[in-house]
Amino acid sequence: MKVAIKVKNLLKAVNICSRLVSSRSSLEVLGNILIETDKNILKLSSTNLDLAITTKLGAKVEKEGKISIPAKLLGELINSISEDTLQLIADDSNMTIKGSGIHSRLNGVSASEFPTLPKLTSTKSIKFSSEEIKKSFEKVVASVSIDESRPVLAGIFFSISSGQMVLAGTDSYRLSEIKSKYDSKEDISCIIPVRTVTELLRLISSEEVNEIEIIIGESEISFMVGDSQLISQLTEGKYPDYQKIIPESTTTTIECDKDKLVEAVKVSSVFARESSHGITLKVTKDELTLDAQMSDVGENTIKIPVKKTGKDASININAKYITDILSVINDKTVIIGINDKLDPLLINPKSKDNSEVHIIMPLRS
Amino acid sequence: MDNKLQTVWGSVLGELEIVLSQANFQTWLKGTELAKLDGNKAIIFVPNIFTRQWIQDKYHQEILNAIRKVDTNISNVEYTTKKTSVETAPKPKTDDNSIRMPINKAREKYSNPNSGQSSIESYGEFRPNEKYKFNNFITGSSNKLAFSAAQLVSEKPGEMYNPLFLYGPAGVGKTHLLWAISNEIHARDPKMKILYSTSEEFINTFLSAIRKGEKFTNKYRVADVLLIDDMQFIAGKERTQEEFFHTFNALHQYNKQIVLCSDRPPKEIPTLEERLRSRFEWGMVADIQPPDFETRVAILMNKANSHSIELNMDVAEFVATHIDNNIRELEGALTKIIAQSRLHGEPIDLSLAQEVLGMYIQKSQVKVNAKTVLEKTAAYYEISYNDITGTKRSRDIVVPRQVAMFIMREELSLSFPRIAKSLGGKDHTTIMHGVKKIKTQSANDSVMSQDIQSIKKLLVG
Repeated sequence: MKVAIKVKNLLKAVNICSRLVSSRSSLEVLGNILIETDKNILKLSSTNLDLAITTKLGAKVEKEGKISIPAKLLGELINSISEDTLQLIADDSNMTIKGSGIHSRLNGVSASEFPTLPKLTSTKSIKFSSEEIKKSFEKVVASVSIDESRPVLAGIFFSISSGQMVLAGTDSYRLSEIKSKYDSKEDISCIIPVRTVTELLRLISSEEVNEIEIIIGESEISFMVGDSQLISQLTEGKYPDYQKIIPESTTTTIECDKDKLVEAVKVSSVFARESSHGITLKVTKDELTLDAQMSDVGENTIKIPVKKTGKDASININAKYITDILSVINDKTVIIGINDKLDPLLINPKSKDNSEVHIIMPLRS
Repeated sequence: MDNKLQTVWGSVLGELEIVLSQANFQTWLKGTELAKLDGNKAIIFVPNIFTRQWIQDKYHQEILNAIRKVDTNISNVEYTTKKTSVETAPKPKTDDNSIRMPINKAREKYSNPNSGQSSIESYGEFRPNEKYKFNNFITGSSNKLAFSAAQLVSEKPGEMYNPLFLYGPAGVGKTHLLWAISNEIHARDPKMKILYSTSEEFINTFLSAIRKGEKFTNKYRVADVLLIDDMQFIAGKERTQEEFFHTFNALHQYNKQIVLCSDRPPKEIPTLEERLRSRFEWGMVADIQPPDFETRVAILMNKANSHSIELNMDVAEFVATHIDNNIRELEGALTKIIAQSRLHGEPIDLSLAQEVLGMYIQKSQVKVNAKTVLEKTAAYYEISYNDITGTKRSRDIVVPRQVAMFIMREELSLSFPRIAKSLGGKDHTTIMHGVKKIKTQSANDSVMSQDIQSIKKLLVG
């Protein structure tokens, strides 16, 4: 292989690929980035065997070839070079990097040892505005479980049918669901691992594109974001039938200013440091009272004005979950719905009219 | 899964393990299963699409050859990531209960109630132990290899894997497998002389034989099948090791099956003589890991079934969530719940389980301190603890370091100098800068704020 390349392009590609590389893998080659020529472009790939990333960059290819190089080594080197253009020359086992003043030789591993990236078997392709899909994913990511023991819950439910796209995430204690209009010929229903989504969000941030393309296969999914492609396994299994849990109506509904609520929950949290972060929400007349106490610390009460419809109510809830949800809501006004104190609590942004729904399961007192 | 499939696949894996390097074998073939034999086609389940591609590209021929050794009809091998004919994980219930109440997670590792393994002398008058059989041994990815090997051994003692060396932590089913092998061999051929013993027993017999001036060797050397549990205790006992070495050789020479169990692999048993170590590694060394969540649930359901009790999925899941590494404890917890329910005439439900397990589950009072924050942050970004507290200034380390500063400031309300100290004595203005930077960044950058969110989640566990 012999190519000439701009350092800033190479740097970007190396940084994108490095994120997937784990130095702890038992298989040495998984700590490497695959560098290969493809006609007149250079392709860099990395994988952790859950997902893989490939990014393309323009280069002057004089001689085709491929090799895999330790990601950490390459990253450290490229990050500290101040050259403008570099020449990469590689055979099967090592690569030489030449600049105007620099000359380094990196030991690599033959490209044939590097995992072949899965070929996509499907042509089910859909396109999204990258900004919109990013916003939607961000709203559900916080509710997804980080516990890998139930893989289904460590993923985001993604479905498109009858003109509607639905995204949902839950860790079984809280749930977020986003619906939006989307016309597609194909019906889709799958579970995307949250790690993949986090990578996707990162990729969207670094690639600065308006549109992304999603290709969904039987057991894999691929995202085309600008010059990069993310390939991931889909989580197998049936997503919990969560629709039943979202209350259709509530006996108590309040409307309040989001910033005031954020502040009140934050203050209460000081007294809710136990593992359950429990605080009590009480709705009376036109007021929401937040009570928190810890026997060895003290207690706190804070009130905020609200607009109430329905009857008075009281419910124990994890303050952290409220904070997490409020942090992804953009509206100035939120609607909170309560039924019984053992029933799920509903938090919606006012303007979204049920296209964005968050629910939290209460704490049993 | 069908036992035959497991057996076939076990022998294929056995072959491949010899051909491939340890790292390759672990990375690519762990978690694979033979899902189906369909006429001349074998369908192999692989855990993910990356493995599928790699196995297809690199190991297809080896796998085909190995399978054809067992079943000559096979001419075609296919790979799938879909668990079709493989038993699927228990689905969460789809009523309101699938969204469960927050429960404190047990973080404490339970001490092993190292109940002395009962062992029987079984010269010719082998008494089968009905409790431990292959068909009530629940398999999952953690014990599949060991299970297949054990089955093969019981079908053809002395022929396939000799010795078979099983290792794994306490309470994962080693003794169960030893018994299952004994029972199965006995059922197939009651004339076989099966000798089941713990290494402690072996040592004691040996010592008492010396004391009495008797000839020790006879007893063990006439066995057709010798099974020895808790082999690790032989470490450091030189005379016994020597005696065992001769016994081993005598049996092995005549193709008598030897099965050994230990809590660690041969190479990790300290002061084990090299010649014994190499002999232990001669045949097949298979590990049994603590069961995964699905397997634990399956074990509980099976156990409840054998008591003719209907166990709700949510109770099983609750118990399996809280007792996560030891099957003996898992079954003990279930027995307690059943006893409590009979005693008080209460139905077995989640609240009863919570009440009974209260004593097991130490409330998680996770003490979060500066060190935990640093450790979890480092772990999240996959860098080392030394890097995060060190002085390296590359971007992939500086950012996590600053995130840790921010979290320590925000969550633990530590002073800047205190944070500086925990990071190996940086200047406190460095900390102020770091905290400020992450604060602004997390307000504008959703990826950053999600990272912080996730780390916080890790902290409270």
